[in-house]
Amino acid sequence: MNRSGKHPGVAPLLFLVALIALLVPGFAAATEQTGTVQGTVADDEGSPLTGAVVTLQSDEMQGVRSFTTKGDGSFWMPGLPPGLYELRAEFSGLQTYVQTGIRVTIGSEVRVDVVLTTAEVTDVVTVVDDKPTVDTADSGQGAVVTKEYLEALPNRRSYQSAVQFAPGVTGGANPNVKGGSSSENVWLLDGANTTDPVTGTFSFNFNLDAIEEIEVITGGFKAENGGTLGSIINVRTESGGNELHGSIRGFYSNGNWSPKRDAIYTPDGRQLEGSEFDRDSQNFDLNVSVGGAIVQDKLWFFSSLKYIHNVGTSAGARSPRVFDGFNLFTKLTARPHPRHEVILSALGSVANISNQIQSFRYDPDAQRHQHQSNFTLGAEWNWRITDSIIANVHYTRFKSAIDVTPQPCTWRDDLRFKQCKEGQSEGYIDFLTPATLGASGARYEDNYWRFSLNDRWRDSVRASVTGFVRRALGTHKIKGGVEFGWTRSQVQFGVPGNLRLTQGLDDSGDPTSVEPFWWVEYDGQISQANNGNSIFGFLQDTWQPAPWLTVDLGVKYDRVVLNNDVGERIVGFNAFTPVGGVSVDPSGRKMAKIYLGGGINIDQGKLLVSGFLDKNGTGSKLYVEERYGGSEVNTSFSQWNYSRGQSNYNSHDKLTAPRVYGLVTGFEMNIGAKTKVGLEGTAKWFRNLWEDDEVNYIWNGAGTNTIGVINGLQDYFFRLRTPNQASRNYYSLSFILQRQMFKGLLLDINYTMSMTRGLTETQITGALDNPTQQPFEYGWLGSDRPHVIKASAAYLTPFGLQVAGTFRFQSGSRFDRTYYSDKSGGYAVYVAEVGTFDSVNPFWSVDLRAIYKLKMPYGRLFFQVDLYNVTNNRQATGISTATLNSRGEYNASGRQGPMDLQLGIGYEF
Amino acid sequence: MSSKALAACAAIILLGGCFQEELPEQNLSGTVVVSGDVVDDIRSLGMVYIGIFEGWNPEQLGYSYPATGPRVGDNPLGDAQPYGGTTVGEYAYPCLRAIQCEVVTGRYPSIDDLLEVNPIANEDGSDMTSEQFYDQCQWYYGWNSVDEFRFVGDELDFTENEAGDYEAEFLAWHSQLPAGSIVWGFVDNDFTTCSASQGAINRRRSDDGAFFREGTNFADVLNFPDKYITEGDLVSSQPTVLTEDKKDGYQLVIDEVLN
Repeated sequence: MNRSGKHPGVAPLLFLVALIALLVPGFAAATEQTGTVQGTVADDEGSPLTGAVVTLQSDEMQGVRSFTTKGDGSFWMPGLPPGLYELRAEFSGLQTYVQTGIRVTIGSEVRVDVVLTTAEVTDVVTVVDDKPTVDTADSGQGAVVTKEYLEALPNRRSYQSAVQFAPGVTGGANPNVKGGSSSENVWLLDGANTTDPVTGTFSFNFNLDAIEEIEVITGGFKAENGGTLGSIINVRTESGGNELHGSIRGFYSNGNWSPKRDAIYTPDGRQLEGSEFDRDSQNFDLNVSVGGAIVQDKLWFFSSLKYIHNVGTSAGARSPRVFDGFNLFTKLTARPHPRHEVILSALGSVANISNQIQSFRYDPDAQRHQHQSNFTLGAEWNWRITDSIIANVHYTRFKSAIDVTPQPCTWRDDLRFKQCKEGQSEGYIDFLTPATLGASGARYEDNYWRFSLNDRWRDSVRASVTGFVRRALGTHKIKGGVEFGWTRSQVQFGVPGNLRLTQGLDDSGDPTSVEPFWWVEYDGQISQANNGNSIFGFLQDTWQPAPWLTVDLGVKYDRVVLNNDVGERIVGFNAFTPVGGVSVDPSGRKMAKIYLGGGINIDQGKLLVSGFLDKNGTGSKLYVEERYGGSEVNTSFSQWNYSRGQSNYNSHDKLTAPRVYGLVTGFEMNIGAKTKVGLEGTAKWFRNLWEDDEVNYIWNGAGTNTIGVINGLQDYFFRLRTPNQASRNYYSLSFILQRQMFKGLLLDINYTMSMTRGLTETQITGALDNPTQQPFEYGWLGSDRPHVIKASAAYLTPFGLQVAGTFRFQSGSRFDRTYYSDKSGGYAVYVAEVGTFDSVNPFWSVDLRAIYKLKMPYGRLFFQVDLYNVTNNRQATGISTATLNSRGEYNASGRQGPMDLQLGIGYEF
Repeated sequence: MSSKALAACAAIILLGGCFQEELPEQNLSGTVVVSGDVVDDIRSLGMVYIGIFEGWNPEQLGYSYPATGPRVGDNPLGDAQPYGGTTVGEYAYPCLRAIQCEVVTGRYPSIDDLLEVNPIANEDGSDMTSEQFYDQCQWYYGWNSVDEFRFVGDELDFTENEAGDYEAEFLAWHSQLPAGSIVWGFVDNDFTTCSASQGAINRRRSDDGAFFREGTNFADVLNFPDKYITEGDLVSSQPTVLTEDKKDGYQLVIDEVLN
């Protein structure tokens, strides 16, 4: 390495990477994992200082990073892990400048312009950074949930819940983000894509104490943020430092501490909803994390363990649901050379869920068990090629397994679990005994009726190069990269004993006129495995022609291939898409910004899509139905035998890439120390989403029943499509007031007004199956929440007690009056646009948290009390529309969880 | 991938809306005219079935009928293999078993009209009034507005034209429309296409717990119309032939009474 900062032999490498980025098609998110501090050093006359030494240090960054300013006095320090930093600027003969409290978040471009004076009041001037949080160079939207947020605010110790602090985020653990569906988010762990390759949902749980920061990108995506229609949720973990640190924390909650709700009856005595009085739940989780140096300034470690034990019995269920889960995360960071950093990480988790089905219909002997596990291995190499160029290579392997089986038996008779029989050892899983379903309305007995063994893989390799270019009509941060991805899914499923006995009543439930019969189902074990591959390439330039102006330009390339279980290519497309944005600082002092951005993102599909056309699933089943009269005489016999060639699932010849067109705009300005206000507008147009339609049935004019079939077979025939009708529009306006934790006070208030309309929020639905319903299928979607308010505050009292609260309000979901469909046998016919009948009432809640840390030798003792839903609001969050009538009687399909108290204690050092 | 293909791909992605899915199915719309000569009271007109078929055969059954495939099993005729179709009206359960499978939507402007065509006797032998009928339906369905009664309402399917015929619009969704195929239809005036043992299980059991189904049409009417066409039904004596690239504005005349 020579002192000029130029590295021999770099140019060919850069050219190669850039060429790959430009020419090779692409996949998945290559989202930034670090932040940047940049700026200038000048003397008090404004002259740039060449050769000034700028150093950065932080608990989050192992060691110290230093930079010698260039001829224009500038410095650029990328690749900084998120955290609080101290910057020091020194120049011989001038006062040394120290600024503390600089918050670097993922993807942020923090600018610090230093003026070194000759005044000799003191040799060192120290400034606490109280600058606000406006990143004037960013034209994107989203939120960064920092460590302070995670510790201070009540979040159920779940990173999925913490995501809900961001404006525009609603829904549950798999959230709806600014019009995106719950399966359209990309979940990253330290930049590694861990999104479930089949369902597009999150795939791991995590010890909250191991998280340094969560970045939620909700709009205004840069070119590197590919592969999502909804959002990118990027969990950045902690790393060990030179000093040993760690914590152990335990939390406990008990459902019996919560008020319960009586059954709800109509005036004429009909029970609408069951009682919750027999609900019994307890939750305990233990969290241990520790980090430090193995070799000072060279090799560091961080490790985290989480154990969860959860027990609960839903109303009416005959046996308790028991969840036991472990999660272990380990990370090694090595810096053998100042310019090279290697990070190895491994995340493993395993969980067992016993008696999973909480229903009165299942005897303990017929209960279901789920065993799930996942493993993520990451290997990353960061190479600071020169002071202006860094390269990153990242390999990730993700593997998950979900096995659903009959409940393993036990010899312990003190548990309401499936009991072992003679010859069975503890934990024996019975794949041989057929299940029995009692006569209509009765329950499952003998054994669980089905099993499925699912394995999923995702491998990805990513390479990117980032360069900082000065004096080329301003400055440029140019980044190019490519990512190759491979996904695979394998599932085996079948019926224990290849037989199911259904003891029912004839004529669909008439108790007065029929004899019981047996339905015998032979269902051989079926194995399916499908796979996909993808390539994602991007090139982007963050150009600052002037200090007050930032222009983002980028282009992406997506190549997606998804195959079904017999190797047929179901999906295969290539797409070039552009993104761009402009951010203007009208103050010229980094105090405010006005921004506008837009672009197109491509859905890279899921194996769910190609799995829709798996052949084996419908190919080898054999159903045999035998009916017996009361005298045990076989009175009827029928058989359906589907051969592989008669698949009822096909794909339309012409498919296009599902995508979202996004447009964001807004402004932010600082209004005080670490405090900003903002207004952000978002428009998203989702187009050509995955859908299917039914092609065989001919419907009557009202769509309530069929009157014929096109191919002569009375059966459903489906077809995969990306139709123009499968679209969704989202518009929102958010107000934001945010104060980072500063002088003991944290504030985060946002209000979002939005509308979400479209055909569907879930992929491959029945929305197009009945064409007569198409005029009504497009309308207000279930996730539409016209008004959402989130207000959080935390305050550290002078006595060391930190108190915090969160208030949330949101409009209820819209729903429809549906009418009976003779074809479907359910309430599926609309007579008006979906979502226009009424809305569930709005609901709100208040959560509180108090933390006290008592100084102890070598550390602090930690006490925490969380109280969720303080007022015990039990407003319905969803309803079952089938039984709705115009008197307003309906069954709630979900309610706000009751008031919940959680106690925590721990020790940290 | 060639540069042309890449350019085309980029154009598709960027322009989006230009994506032409080129589905083989289209919607077919038009007007069905029921001759005034064959209708006594339009309120009692049965369900009108309209199908799109490959061709027709006026000789086979002595009246206009779609061309069929080979006979299979016990079917009197082979499958007519429709390309699509629709109905004007549907069977709606009118809250009372006494007129199950006898009420078609889009025929009655009011409950009084419905009771005039379908008089119902109370247990004491008196005629059921519209108020009593309303109360029964309110109890049965849980509805409290006459607007929700699908079998009565201001929007009737048929209107009388100047020639004294009755016209209704039809829309056959998602149908294959090969040029030269035909639109043919019939009216099931005696409700033989309605199966009393199918449809929804009675939603509210009466006091005696009687089990029944509300009734609905059979699912193979367009495949085997001959199974349901009986004396008194109306058929289209002259099917309408589809022409290429025309998907709306067709007229189908139903003008023959089967004796």
